[in-house]
Amino acid sequence: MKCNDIENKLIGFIEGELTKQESSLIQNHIDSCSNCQDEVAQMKSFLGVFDADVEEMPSANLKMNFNTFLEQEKQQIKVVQLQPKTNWKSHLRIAASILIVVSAFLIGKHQSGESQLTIAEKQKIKEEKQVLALLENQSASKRIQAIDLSEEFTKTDTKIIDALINKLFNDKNVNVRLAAAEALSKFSSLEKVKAALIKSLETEKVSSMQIELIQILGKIQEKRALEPMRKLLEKQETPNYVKQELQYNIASLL
Amino acid sequence: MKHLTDEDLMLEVANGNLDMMSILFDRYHVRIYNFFNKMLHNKMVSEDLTQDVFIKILKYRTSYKNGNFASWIYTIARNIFSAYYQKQKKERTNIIEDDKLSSEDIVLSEGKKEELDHLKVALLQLSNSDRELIVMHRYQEIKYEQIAEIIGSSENAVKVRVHRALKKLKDIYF
Repeated sequence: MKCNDIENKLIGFIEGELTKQESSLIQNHIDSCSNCQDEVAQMKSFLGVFDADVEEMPSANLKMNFNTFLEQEKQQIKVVQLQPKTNWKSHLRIAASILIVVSAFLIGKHQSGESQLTIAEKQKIKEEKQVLALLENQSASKRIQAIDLSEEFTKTDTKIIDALINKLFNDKNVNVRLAAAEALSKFSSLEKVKAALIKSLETEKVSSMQIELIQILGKIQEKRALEPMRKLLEKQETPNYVKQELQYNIASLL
Repeated sequence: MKHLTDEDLMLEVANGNLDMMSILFDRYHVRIYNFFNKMLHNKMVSEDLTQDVFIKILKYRTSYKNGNFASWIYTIARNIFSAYYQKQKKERTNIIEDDKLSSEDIVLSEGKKEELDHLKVALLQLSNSDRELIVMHRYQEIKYEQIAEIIGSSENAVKVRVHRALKKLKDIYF
């Protein structure tokens, strides 16, 4: 056995992880090789340093914060259980897919010049009510889910669009506002939607929202957004990455 | 309740008995905190990340499928660490500095303390993947077999990698 063979097994040897046979072969070599003896001694003293380590204790905040979170989570469970047992999620999914079929059907019908309140239309009104209700849910993720569903509606659906605009301005959760902005970008041919997006850019304080709005307004080539964009660019507190986005989109609008 | 295994407790949690999570928290939070603190050498961030681990477990409790709980929680901790690390890298801030949270220093005899500090500094010079192996194996005393489960590798491969990492660390240390 040579020193090279031993090098890779040294830790295993010290830790007692090897078979007896391997172990005694290495022991034999070490007994006759002063280099390897030094190596073993050095490695042993190095591994010994770890043993002196003591686990550190986190501050009491950790436990306190965890307990607070746990209580919140328990409350949520109670709230969920109070609701009827029907599964909203799957209902709404089915509803949304029905809606696509129905709206396609309705478009066809409109083109042929008919406009009676059919069963399908009544159904659609019902879906709409469900989405509107879900938009007011206290859980942010439910609201985002509702926004995703609302994208399936057409731009003639003013109630849904109004509700989305309302979310864009007033929702306290930035993720919900982001989702609303994204959903509204699909209806950006509407004057009302354009005006809302511009207005939101003027008032919005969160930079991720600002970027989203800048991108949407740049994409739809909305010239009236130039003014608020320039203002935002001049503001000192605007972060650099937002400014970059602004410069890029202002250039594309000019 | 104290005699239940981690897995029994977690299944209870998954079924909606959230109070059981407190016991799991008591059993694991110090270990997970020390894992992060060894990886980052930053007490405040380590507390935040530990908190994130338990929040994630509660949020995704229904996805727990009766596997080894310790492996599961370390897998989650690793994911949270790597997400944090990537984010930090993007923001180009130094993760090693800013160790401001005042926690009482461990009382050790002078020589031992120096050696340990020296070891900590050496440890931070290793790559993340080498460092986590040493943290899990030497500090946290997790068996090779379980490390293999956590990082998705084989026991032998882990053993070889731990040994290599230890050698690297020793060369930095001396």
